[in-house]
Amino acid sequence: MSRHCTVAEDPSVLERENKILLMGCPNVGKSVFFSELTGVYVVSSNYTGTTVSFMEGEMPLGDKTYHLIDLPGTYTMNATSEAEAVAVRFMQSDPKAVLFVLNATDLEGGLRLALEVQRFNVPIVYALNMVDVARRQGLEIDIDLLSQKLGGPVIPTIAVKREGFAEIRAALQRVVTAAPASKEEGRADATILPYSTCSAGCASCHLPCPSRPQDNDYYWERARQIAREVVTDVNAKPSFLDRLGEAMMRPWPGIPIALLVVLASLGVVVGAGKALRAVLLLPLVNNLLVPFFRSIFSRFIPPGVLLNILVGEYGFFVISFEWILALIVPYVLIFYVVFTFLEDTGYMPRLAVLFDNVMRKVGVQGGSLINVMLAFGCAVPAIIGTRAATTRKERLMVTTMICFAVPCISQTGALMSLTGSYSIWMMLATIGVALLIFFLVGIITSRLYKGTIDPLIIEVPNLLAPDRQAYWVKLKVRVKEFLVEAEGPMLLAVAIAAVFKEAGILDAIANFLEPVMVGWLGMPREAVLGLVLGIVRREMAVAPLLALNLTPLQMFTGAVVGLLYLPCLSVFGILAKEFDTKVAVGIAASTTVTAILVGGLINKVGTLILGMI
Amino acid sequence: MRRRHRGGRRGHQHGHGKARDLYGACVGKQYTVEEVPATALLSCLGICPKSVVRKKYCYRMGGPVLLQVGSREVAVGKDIASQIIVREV
Repeated sequence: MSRHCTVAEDPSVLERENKILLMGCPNVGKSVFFSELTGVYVVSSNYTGTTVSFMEGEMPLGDKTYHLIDLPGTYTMNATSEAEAVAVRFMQSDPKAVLFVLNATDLEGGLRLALEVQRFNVPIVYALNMVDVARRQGLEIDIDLLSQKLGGPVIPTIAVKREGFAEIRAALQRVVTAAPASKEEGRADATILPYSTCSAGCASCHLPCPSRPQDNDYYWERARQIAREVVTDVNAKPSFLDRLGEAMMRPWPGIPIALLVVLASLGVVVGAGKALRAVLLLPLVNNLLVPFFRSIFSRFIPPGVLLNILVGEYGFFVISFEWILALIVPYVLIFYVVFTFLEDTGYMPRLAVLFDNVMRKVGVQGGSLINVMLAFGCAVPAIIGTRAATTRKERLMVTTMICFAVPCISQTGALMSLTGSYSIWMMLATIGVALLIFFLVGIITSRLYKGTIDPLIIEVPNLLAPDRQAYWVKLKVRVKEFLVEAEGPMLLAVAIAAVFKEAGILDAIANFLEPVMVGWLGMPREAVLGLVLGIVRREMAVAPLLALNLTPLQMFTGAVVGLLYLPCLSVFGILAKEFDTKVAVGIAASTTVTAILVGGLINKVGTLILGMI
Repeated sequence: MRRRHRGGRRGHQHGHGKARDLYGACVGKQYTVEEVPATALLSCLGICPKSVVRKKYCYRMGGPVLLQVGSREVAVGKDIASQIIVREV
C-alpha cells in the first residue's frame, strides 16, 4: 500500500500538501494505525514514548495519495515539551484532517486532548481503540452518543487485530473530500461538526480558536462530563489478566514477581540460546558450512595468503560462521522473542514503578529502566529513546550508564559463551561487575553532570496478552533489522580480522600493546584482536577470546574488559548525533580507560589471591 | 517547582478530611487534590486541583505512589507526591 516512509526530522515536511495527522495520547496504538494505513511497519510497544519523532508515510484514499504523519503521543497541546511543540506546529500547517486515536479504557484523558485539538478547526475522525479491552473491563461505550458529543465520526477499532480500518479509511475519505466551504455546510454534515461548534465563522482557520476556552480545568471538566455520559461500567468480574496486572503492581507479590520475571527472562535467553547453539548451529557450522567452504576454496585456490584470508584460522568464511551464526544469532533471536513479549504485555512500565526506589539511589528515576532494558537489545535505539527524558542531565546520565555497563545482546551472547563455558559463577560474577559499574557510573555522573532529574511520573498501561499476529510481525521485523544493520559491520570486523592476521598487522599491534595486554591485563598477545575489532562491534571485543586457550582469570579479565570497552562505531555515531562530538569522544575515552583500568586491577588482585592459595 | 516538604509519615497524624501530603496519606482511600507543584505532566494526566484520586499503593524505601486517576493508573515519584496536597473525600 505504501511506498514511502521516513523518520522525518525535516521541517519541509510541514509544507507538504494533503497531510493527515495521526494524533492521540501516548500509548493508544497510533503506531499500529500508521503501519496498517501506510503499509510501513513501525515498532510499537505497550508503553509510552515509543514514537519520539514524527513519521511520514503515504496513504492512498480514493484516487488521491495523502501524507499520513504519525506525531509523537502528547497529553496536551500546550507546547511545553518538544513533542507537543511538534504537534502544534503540524496542526497549524494546514492539514486536511486528523485521525485522532482514543483509548477506550481511558476515555477521559483522550477526550481532554481531543477537545483541545478541536480548537484548531481541522476535521477529525476518531478511532476508539482497544474496545475489546474496555469490554473485558466491563466498560460499555455508547458510540453514537460519543460521536454526537465530539461532533465527528467515531469508529470502534481493535488495532492489533486489524479491526475497524476499512471504516477508518471510509470515514477519512468522507471527511477529506467533504471539506466545508462554509460554516453552514459544516453544520449540515455531522461528520465535520467541529467546524460548526466554532462561533467565529472561520472554517479555514487552523489557529487555536480564541472563541473557545483554553483552560486546563475546563478541558478536564468537559472530558469527565462526556465520559460520564457515554461510558457505563457494568461491573464485570475482573478477568485473569486484570487480576494478574493488579497483583504485579502490588508491592507484594509485585516485587518478587518482577525478580522472577527478570531471572526467568535471563534463564530463557541463556538456556534456549545455548541449546540452539549446541544442538543446531554449532553442528551446522562445524560439520557442514565450514568444511563445505574449505573444500570449495581449496579446490580452486592454491595454499597461501588468499586461501588463509578466505578459510584459514581467521578466514572470512570460517569466523563469519563461527562468530556470527553460531555465537551471536542464537542469543539475539531468543532475546528478541522474550523482550518483544515483555514489551507487548505492558510489563516494562511496571518494572519502572517497582524499581523506581533502586534507580533513585543511583540518581535517575525508574522510567530510565525502560531505556536500559532496551539497550540490552542495542544501545542505539535506547539512546534515541532517552529523548523522552525530561532533562538533559537524565539523558546524559542514562546514556553514559548504558555505554559503560549495559552490553548489547550480541555482546551478552559472546560474554555468556565465554564465561558460561567455564562456570555459571563466573557468568554471575561478570553480571555483578556490570551492575556495580552501572551503579557507580550513575552515582558519579549524578554529581558530575550539571542539572536536575525530574521524579518519576508515569502512566501504567493495561496488562495485555500480545496479539499473535502483531507479535510475530514485530519479531520478524526486529530480527530482520538486526541482520540487515548488524551484518555489515560484523562482516567488516571479520574481514579486518582475516586481513590483519595474514598481513601481519595484528602482530605489529600486539607488539605495540604488549605492555598493556600482557603486562597489565595478563592476557595472551593474540587477545589484542578483541581490542581492535571491538571498535567496530561490541561483541567482537569478546568473540576472538573464545578461540584462545585462556585460564579462568584471563577469561574473567577478558570478559570485564570486553564489557566495559569502547561502545561500537554505531553508538559513537549516535552519541555524536544526539549530543555532540565532545560527548561521544568523552564517553569513548572514559569507557576505554575504565575497561583497561578495571581489567588490570582484576588481573593483579586475582594473581595475588591465586598466589596466596 | 515549589519545594514543599511535609515529611513522609506526617499525614497519618491528621484527622479525617484534613489536608495532607499525598505521600503521607493513607493507602486505599480517595482524596480530592488541593494543590499540585507546577509540573505540566501532572495536570496532563489529570492530577490537578479538584480532581479525585485514589491512592492505591505506596512503595517502600522512597518508592513512588500509585494512583488511580479516573480510569488511569499513574505512578508518581516520592518527591512529587510529597508536594501534592490532598484532602480525604
